[in-house]
Amino acid sequence: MQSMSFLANEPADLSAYAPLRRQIRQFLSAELARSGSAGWVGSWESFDRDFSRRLARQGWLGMAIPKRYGGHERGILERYVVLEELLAAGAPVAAHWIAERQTAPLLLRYGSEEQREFFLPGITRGEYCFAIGMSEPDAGSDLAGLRTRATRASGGWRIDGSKIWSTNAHRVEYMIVLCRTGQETQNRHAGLTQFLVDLKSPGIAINPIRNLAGEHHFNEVAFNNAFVPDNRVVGEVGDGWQQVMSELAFERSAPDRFLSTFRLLVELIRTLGPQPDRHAAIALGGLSARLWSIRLMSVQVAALLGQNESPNTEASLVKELGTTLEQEIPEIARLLTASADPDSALFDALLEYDILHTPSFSLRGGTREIIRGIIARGLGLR
Amino acid sequence: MNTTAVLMQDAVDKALTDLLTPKRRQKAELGAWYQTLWPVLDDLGLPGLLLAENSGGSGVSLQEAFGVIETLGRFALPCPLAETIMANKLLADNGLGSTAHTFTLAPARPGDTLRLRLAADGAYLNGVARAIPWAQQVDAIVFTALTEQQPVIGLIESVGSENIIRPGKNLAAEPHAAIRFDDFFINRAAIAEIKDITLVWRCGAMLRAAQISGALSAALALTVGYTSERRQFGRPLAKFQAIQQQLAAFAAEATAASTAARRAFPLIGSNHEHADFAIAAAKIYAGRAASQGAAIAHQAHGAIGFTEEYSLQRLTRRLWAWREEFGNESWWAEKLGQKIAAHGADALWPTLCADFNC
Repeated sequence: MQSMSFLANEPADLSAYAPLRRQIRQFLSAELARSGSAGWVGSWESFDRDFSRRLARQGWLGMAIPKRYGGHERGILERYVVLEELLAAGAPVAAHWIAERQTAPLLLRYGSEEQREFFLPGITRGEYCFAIGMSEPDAGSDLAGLRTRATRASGGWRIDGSKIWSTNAHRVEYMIVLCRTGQETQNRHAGLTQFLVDLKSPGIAINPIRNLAGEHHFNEVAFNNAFVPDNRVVGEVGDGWQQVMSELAFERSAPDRFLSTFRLLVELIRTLGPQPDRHAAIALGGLSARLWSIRLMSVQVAALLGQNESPNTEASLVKELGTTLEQEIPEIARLLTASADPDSALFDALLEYDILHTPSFSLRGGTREIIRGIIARGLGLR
Repeated sequence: MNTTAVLMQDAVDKALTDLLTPKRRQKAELGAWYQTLWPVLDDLGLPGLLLAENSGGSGVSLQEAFGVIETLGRFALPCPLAETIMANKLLADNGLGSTAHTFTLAPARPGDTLRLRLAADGAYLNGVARAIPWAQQVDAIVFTALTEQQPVIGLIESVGSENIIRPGKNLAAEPHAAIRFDDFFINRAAIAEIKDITLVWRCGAMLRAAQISGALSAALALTVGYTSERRQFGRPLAKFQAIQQQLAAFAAEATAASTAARRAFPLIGSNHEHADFAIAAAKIYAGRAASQGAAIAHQAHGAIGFTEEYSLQRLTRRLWAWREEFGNESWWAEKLGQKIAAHGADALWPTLCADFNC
């Protein structure tokens, strides 16, 4: 079965990166100490430009970007090691996350030479931050139903419409906006184009949407005749859908899709102590077994990406399992500590944060139902 | 996968497809597996799969052999070939010889401990090991036992009917029995010291993880095939989202189980400090996926999948049987959880990232 193809691969060997891991762990310890808190809460949703810049100065941003664009041209697996260490620590990577993980590969694959030269060095330095402009009020899972339109103007295009759920649009420099540029025809995937939009441009209004935890991450971004120059079209006009599909494969295969609540699991272990009761031991063993297995799959997906394959089904398999695990960890943590007094502010803070955020794990980057649909396609059912 | 492994798996695949006609399968399942199946399996060199070539084996590594064991699971092979393959390797690794053809492994249930009393003239075995797969039908048993000194691995080639108690069948109607020994005499030449009493247990667990992986893959393929053909309400079942969503979940769990089992299988002989973590994770995931996969496969098949005649049951009943053998999810998870708690919260991440270099 094609979707199982990565099973038969030799397991990717990350042992060469042990020294790199040690370095990152030391850096993160120092960063945590510097932050003055017992632990990072908010995981990879925490936006900290200074952290991103310090990470960049260590050479840990832009690792998969070629040297000629200011990157470090290290391998995908080496980069994977850096990513997973950051996520396992709960480091505040949100500021550079989209730029580094989605925008950079997009530009490397589809961008013009000028765009690469303009954006990639800044992304590598942690200075150019990006948001995603895909979802709309009437187009979420059904992204092809989007209505934001870009019409040709002199020297460029004018964008009209609105995007929603644009995480951090209010505090980044650029947004990649997926627009309809062609006529609506039978093929809903045709006639879509992506644009690199400078959010300081006139005609753009950014309005906050608070999530149920009271945080301002999401935004609604309204475009009213906003101008984008020709040299900010990504790739070819009309190629937007194909670009988005390949971006999503990258996005879905990263280790953030199973490590969002890992910090809570670590603090749960600390809270339960060295001799937990039978019930707790079984729960810990079960969760850890799943983590180990899912991480293995995630590494294999990274290896496939590194071989220039498009492991959409494999990445979806990881996301399906990973987000389910992420959601179960807070549930198990609360049940196991019901009659205990954790006496740990960090545990309490993580538990509260994770419970409030659990719905989002199986919604963001493709809902569970959509992801399962992709797997079903890989099985030949659709 | 390297070429040897691929070629071997293809050969086994083809041979089993030809061998397991409905008639032969039925005969085998009624107990005549040795006459009906074994000559072909022998011809393929399968019992000696893990033996060195200069010992008459196929010289295949554990990593390469995983795919073959998985294939045995995929075909729901109704005979103790997996056990025999592993027993032969264990004997060779520990300098023990045997002329037996068919083997099983003991212990197979948690807490069952055999004890060996060493004496001048030999050794005396005591204890009960429950639900040993195929015990009443094989030539020999490879077991581990505690002694007053080092644990040992040993071979019994002359199990008498007085040692077979509570003969029965597992959920897949495969024979198993408890074996009991009261000062059962064993020659010194039939035992060897080992470091770890859990050696056979770990090997058995990883065989089952591999077999479960294969059976899951077959059950998924069967279910995809069935739902693609069977039509209701004007279209194939596979076109309904409700079915697609369930099969996707099945595929995800099966893939994880398989990935874990493939990674852990070669670690059964490893001294690596985290090998036990991997082995535990693989057996736990195998059990989890077996349970979820069997349930979804049956649900998607409707009533026909619940019949004896339809082939799903030969896979799902083995999934239900195999997940219990050599420690179920709960047993392994408790051990793993205890170890994780003992090593402390900050050791979890480094352990999860451990590289095995094999």
